[in-house]
Amino acid sequence: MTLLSSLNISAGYGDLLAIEDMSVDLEEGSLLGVVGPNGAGKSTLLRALMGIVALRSGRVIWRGSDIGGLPADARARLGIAMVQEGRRLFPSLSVEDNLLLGAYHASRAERRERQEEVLALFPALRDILGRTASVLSGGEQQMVAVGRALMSRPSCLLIDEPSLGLAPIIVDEIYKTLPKLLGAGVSIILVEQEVGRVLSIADLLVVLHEGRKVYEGAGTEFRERPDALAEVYLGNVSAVGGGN
Amino acid sequence: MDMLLQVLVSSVLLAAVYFLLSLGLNIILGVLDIVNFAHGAMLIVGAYATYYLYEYTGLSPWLLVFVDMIVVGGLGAILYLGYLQFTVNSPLVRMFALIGFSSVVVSSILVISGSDFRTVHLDYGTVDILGLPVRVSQIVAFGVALILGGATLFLLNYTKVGKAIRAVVDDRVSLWICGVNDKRLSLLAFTVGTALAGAAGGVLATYVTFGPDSGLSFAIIAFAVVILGGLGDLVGGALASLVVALVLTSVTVYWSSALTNTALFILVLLVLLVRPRGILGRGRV
Amino acid sequence: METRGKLRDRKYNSARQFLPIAALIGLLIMGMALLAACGGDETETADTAVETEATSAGATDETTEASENAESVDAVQVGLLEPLSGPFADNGKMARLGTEMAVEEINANGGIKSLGGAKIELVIKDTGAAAPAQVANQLQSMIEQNDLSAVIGAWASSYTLAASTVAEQAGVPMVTESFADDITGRGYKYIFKIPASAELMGEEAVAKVLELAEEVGYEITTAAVVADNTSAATVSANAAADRLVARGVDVPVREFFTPGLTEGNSLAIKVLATDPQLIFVQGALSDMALLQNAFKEQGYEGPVLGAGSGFVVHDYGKTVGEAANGAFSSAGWNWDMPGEAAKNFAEQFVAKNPEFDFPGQEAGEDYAAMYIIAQALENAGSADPQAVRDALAEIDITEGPATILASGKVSFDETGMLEDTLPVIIQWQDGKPYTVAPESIASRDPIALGQ
Repeated sequence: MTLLSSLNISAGYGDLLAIEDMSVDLEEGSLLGVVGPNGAGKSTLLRALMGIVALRSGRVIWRGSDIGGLPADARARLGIAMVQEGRRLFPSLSVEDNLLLGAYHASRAERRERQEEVLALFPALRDILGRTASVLSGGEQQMVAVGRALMSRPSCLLIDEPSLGLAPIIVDEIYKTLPKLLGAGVSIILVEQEVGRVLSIADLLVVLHEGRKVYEGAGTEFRERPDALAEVYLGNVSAVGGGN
Repeated sequence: MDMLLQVLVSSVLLAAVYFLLSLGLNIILGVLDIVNFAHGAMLIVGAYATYYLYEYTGLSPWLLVFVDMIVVGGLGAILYLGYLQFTVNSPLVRMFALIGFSSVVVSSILVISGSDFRTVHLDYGTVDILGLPVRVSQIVAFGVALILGGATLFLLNYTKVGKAIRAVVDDRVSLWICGVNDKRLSLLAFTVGTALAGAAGGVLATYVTFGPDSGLSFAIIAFAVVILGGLGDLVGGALASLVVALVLTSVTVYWSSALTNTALFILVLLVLLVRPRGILGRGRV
Repeated sequence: METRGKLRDRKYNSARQFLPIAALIGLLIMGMALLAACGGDETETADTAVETEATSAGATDETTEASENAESVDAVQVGLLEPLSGPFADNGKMARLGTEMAVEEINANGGIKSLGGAKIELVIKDTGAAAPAQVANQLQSMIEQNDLSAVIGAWASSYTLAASTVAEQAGVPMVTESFADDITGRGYKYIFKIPASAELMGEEAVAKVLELAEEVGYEITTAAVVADNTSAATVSANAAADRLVARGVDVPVREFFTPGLTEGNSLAIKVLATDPQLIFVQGALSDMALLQNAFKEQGYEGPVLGAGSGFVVHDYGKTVGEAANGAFSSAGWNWDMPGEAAKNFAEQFVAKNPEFDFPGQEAGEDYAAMYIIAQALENAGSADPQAVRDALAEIDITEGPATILASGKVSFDETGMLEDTLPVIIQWQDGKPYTVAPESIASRDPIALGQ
């Protein structure tokens, strides 16, 4: 069953249209990978799904109903959570308070329980709960950002470039949690510029370029034929270059 | 030496009131990015509320401070809900809107109450603190300022709503994706900020003589405290209150009372240049 | 169409960058506004609505029986230029109430009989807190737009000095309640001054306080002088200080503060550090309230002395509270002047204006001023300002409402000073100012000092 989808959406900033006529579908319990070069519109797609960027046209469908007109906070309350590019924690608040705000509407006991779940997922956070977010390392910040998103017990998690600027060993750490989340019933849309890691876990892969969806295929397809991906990528890159 | 002690005692007492004066301004600035140019008007509405309620009910002015919070906070909520939230989110537009609102308030007071100066006379006598006879009501004012200042800091640092209010300052978008409606928080912050201005006005009413225009002098002090302390930094504001009180008092005592404002402005200009983030360097720029 | 999130984001950033600048701009604007509001000489255009009040009290019974050379006119216009708003509004309003009361009485009693029962029509203009030069312009346009036979005003010395020049040039007689001595010292022919000379009043006030101190054995060796830094207050404070020094009193502190004090403690610390036995204070009511209370709280029990202005405002006692008790000041007039006329006026004023329990200084002065002008019109038999001026110069009133003044009679010397004026010295006792000197007009004994 389709959990979240965009139907022919366009969105952008000012005069710039960042994504055009884009349709993607996230099946329940699956991981949708979204890849593409810089400026392809990956982040805008996530922001449009979340409601941070308004739609110029098209619709966003959540469990069969149109949520395109809902503001971001209302969508969050429906069960959509997001880990933004650059983590974007609340820098003046402690790690614990950052997590707390992720479960703003939950009861105190419920929050405690969820926090324990997050700490089980990222044991490293337990020792730094009292630390101010602004002094954390990039890896720690990313864990808090994912943790904060999970505090709302979302059914859908949008993750924007989690590997950006992090050491590979830490990225591994983050990626290790994704199958666990899928196992716990969280559907995921994962945006990355770097294809490799996404490819390894994506059920469905979407390739964006210049604000449009240029390719869509099952993750297995690419895993079996790695060169297919290169074709998709290179084909479009050369198209951009204007040559034939 | 004797005089120095007196200056210190007087400054510390004043500092608490200055801190209270600046609290509401600081919160509204920090959370909403709104420079509340109506702060002086809100102060004076609080002062008049205490004056009239005291005249007609005879309740303790210290109790009335809390009534002022409801009255002025309510006024702030109405202003925000009925007007401000519909204005373009531009500091300039809101500056002029609030200056306009402030003029409306001041001239309304003039129409309703006239230009007469008012004061709430509290004769609780004086006590001697380190050689300075201090009015008991001033000590109570000090206490009220500390309680309200402490309560505000507690609210912001130790409650869920307070943390969310601080999160609005940090990153509004992140708060949305946490499922939190920032509009309600903004309204709350504006209401709390104006309520604190009302409380400050109520405290002022108990020991100064005021007229419809008097809000201005106190708003200037509040602005100076906020700039010195760092925009949005309440702890810095507490420290800045003491600095401002010390500067104003010692310039008067050791130099000339005609130069107090000049000294204050020079201090503000220097701080903006050297420590634009305030004394503790934690304010926003 | 800009997207919602981005719109917020962007504006938000620019707002942040703008904040300190906005805060500073705000601070500066407020600072300037404050200075403008308080610095007496600053410009602040006031609402200059000209209110014309044709007081139509009752029809005239005594119909025109004009003498041959008299003109017959329906109404005579008299200007009233006073600070009805701004920092001196309390004083200006008193002036207006007194003047209006006189106009009503005069009109009800048949107007100016030599002009065929012409009614007096008051042309009122509010100076607000304008600069003196503007007040001169205000009078200029008042004169141009109306047919004024005379004008009353303009309370503040600086206003009166500026306005009287206009009156002189236009040839319209001006009767003033202003204190300043320069007003009559300039060889002007069209200015007539009701209160005693400021010099005389200041001298008498200091003399009275020192004399009283001596009587009760309260030694005054050191005095402090505190005033706001507006020109009027500075002048009277320096004059008081000089007088004290001339009498052998040490005045180590002359402190001039910017009006609009936010607290009085620090000034009190400074002033009381010199251990004065007498403090001269001059300034706006709100500032004096702060200061006098701070003096009292910090243990000062000696006398406080002022020179008119805030000290004779009706609300002084109420506003300053207990610390007001015993304060001395000079005044141009006080409500407890001897004589039937004064008693009647005070009673009727309070009956008419129940919000006041006694008429203020300006109410009495301008009530008399209006009657003096009416008498001049009567004597002149003409509404022509020149004729009114000549009649004023020759006037000699010994009975009737105009005698409520301290002198008990009205005539002007060649400079325009009221002759035989007395400096009225008042002391606040139980919330009211009582005349305590000179003895001929005193209604109460002064409260002893140091109590």
